[in-house]
This record gives sequence, C-alpha cells and structure tokens, in this order.
Amino acid sequence: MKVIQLHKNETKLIERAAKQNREAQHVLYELHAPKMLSVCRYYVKDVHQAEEVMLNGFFKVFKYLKSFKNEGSFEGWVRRIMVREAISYIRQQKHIEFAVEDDYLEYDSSNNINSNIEVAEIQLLIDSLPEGYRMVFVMYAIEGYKHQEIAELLKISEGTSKSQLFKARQMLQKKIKELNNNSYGSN
Amino acid sequence: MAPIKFEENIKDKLEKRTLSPTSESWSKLSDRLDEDEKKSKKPMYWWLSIAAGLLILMAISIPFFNNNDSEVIQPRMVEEEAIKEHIQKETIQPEQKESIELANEVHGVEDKSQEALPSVKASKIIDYKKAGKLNSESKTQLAENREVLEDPIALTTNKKVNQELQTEIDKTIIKNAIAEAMETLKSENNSVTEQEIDSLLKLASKELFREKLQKETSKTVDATQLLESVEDEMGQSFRTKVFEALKDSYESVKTAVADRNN
Repeated sequence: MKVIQLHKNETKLIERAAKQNREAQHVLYELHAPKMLSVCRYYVKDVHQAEEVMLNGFFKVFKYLKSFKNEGSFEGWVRRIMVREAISYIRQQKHIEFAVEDDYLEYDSSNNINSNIEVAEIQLLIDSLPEGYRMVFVMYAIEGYKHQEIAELLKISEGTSKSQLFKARQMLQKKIKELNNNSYGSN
Repeated sequence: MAPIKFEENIKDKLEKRTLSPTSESWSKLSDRLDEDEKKSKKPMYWWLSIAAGLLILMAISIPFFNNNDSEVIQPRMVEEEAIKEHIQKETIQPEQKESIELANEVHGVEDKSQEALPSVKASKIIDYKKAGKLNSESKTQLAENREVLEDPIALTTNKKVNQELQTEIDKTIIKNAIAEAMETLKSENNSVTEQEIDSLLKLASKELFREKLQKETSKTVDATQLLESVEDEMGQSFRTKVFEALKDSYESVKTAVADRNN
C-alpha cells in the first residue's frame, strides 16, 4: 500500500513538475539527485564535473518531462538521460579511445576475487580503466545495457563493445589481484 | 562465471551508493530553468505583438473599407443606370400596349378606371416575360391575347352587353394572361439561372418602387432618391458586415490573451 501511494504521489509530482512547478521539481530533484549523481560518477571521474553532468541531465528531464508517458519507471527514464548526458560530456571533453591492445592478459578463472571490496575502492578501480573500457564496462555490468544498445549509444560496432568489455574485465581482475596482494603484503 | 559474480557484487554495492550533490546545486538548476522559461516565453510575446499589429492594421483599414464602399457602389451605379434605361424602355412599352387597349376601349368600353389597373397588371406580366427572354412562343401568345381582347369588343358592339359583363370578361382575360405568363415562366424555369432570377426580382422590386413613386409624385420618377435609397441599403449592409467581422476577431484575440495570462 505504501508503495502504491508513493507511486501515486510521484505521478502527481511529475504532472506538476511537467507544468514547470518549481516546488514539485525540487521534490523530485531531492528524491533522485543522490542516486543520479552516483550514476554520473561511474562515467565521470571528477565528482564536481559529475554534478555538472547531472544538472544538465535534470535540466533536460524537467524541460522534456511532458514527453514522459508514465510507461516505464521514472527513475529508469531519468537514468537513461543521465547516461546519455555523461556519454556526450565525455565526448565533448576528448575523443574516446577504444584501445585495442594485442597483449592479451591471461584470463584468470580462479575465484579468488575479494567480494568484501569497498565501494570507494570499486569506484577507484573503475576510474583507473581507460575511457572506452570504463564506459562499456559500466554500461554493460552496472546499467545492464546490451551490446547492441552500447554500440548504438557509443557509435561503435557490437564487436568493439564486446572486446572492450572483455579487456575491461581482464584489467579489473588484474587490478583486484594487485590490490589483494598489496593488502596481504601490508598485513 | 567468476567475472559475472564479481560484477554482480560490485553492481549491488554501487547501486546502493548515493552521492549527495552540493547545497547550491538546486538553486543553479532552478535558475537555469527560470531562464529557459523566459526564453521560451519570448516567442509568445512575438506572437502577441504580431496579433496586436494585425488588430491595428484592421483598425486602420476600416476607413479604407468605407472608401472602397463608394468605389464598389460606383460600378453598381452603372448597373442602376442600365436598370433605369430598362425601366424607361418599359415605361414606353406599357404605353404602346395601352394604346392598343385604348383602341379597344373606343368600341364602347366605358369602364376605363376598372380596366386601367388590370391592363397594367397584364402588361407587367408580359414585361416580365420579356425580361426573361421572350421567345417566339410568347409572341404568338400575345397575338392570341389580342384576339381574345377583340372578341369581347365584338360582343359589346354587336349585342351591347352591360358594364358588368364587360368587367367579367376583362377579368377572364387577365386570368388567361396570368396563366399563360406563369406557364411560359414555368417552361423557361429550367433554362433560367439564379442570376437571371435575381435580376428579375431586382427588376420587379424596382418597378414596384417606381410605381409607388409615380403614384406619390404624380407620375414622375425621382432618380436621385431612387439611387440614394439603394446606395444606403448596400452601404449599410457592407459596413455592418465589416464591423461584425472586426468585433468577432477582436473578441477571439481578447479571449486568447486572457487564456494565455491565466
């Protein structure tokens, strides 16, 4: 019952916000901004820049809110806008390199990845990935996009998307291993 | 499977993460939204100014319309003249017919006053027939009319029938003439266009008006009065039309502006 009421309230809020009611927009912003800033942060290393990207995203959200038809979840809609905004931001900043490295790292199938790794550390690991790897990895592993969608959004081929993901995974494994080794070494 | 498990793990952790934006972030966004709203409202002002301009243009054009009024009537005046000429011709025509009838009267028809009115009526009907492009058929009908007219005259001279009989016969003649005229009109109806009907109606109304004038002013037609009355009629209707159109458009603009403000 609580969920339904919340949903009803959100629908009303969205309706009011679509009519450029600042109060309703503010409430929606407060509700979704922390999550969306986190989403933007996956792609943008600097948190202040990530906030800029998020604000651009919200600006578009409120401007085109009339086109939101309540078909899917509002959060999903906002999130898609944020991802697109982040991609276009990175594109503006620099040319994204989808590195094709020949020195294939050995694929480690051993299940020794530390699952107790902290969120901040995960973010740092993701940040350390090259731009292309990072974007494909975040979009695929965290956002749940399919290779076809990633290829469309990043204007690359599906094959590139797949190879970028593979390499990102390899690199991450290597880095986690290093991290684990360091932590063990320190102990 | 390892990377997928690992990915699920980091996904769960990252999904739970929230980062609170800076305190001034909302005010930044709301300022940007305000600015955008102002910008988007600008085209509305443009439209409003265009609408106002149109209104002013319409207001200015009213005197022009009034001027055009007289200009429009001018060619109509030519029409009126044509009609006047037509009327003049008609005035001659009934006289001719009356002369024939007068000749008949010499044979002993004393009730001139009684006959005068119906004969005019008969001639009028014949006139209408003429205006509706009289064909040869109607001409023969006229000839028949004359014959019919002559018949009662013969009766009066030979048998010396009294006045009552004469008037009765006259009435039958008029009835015959009317019936014939109606028939010819009906037969011609198929070929008669709306314009012709209109012109006929106009002619009829003109003639009625002329007759009225003739009666009032001892058989003299006041041409200027006639034209003035027609001008006034037409001018007024056009002016009222323009004013009505202006009023309507002004009301619609007013409501649109009021709605927009609300």
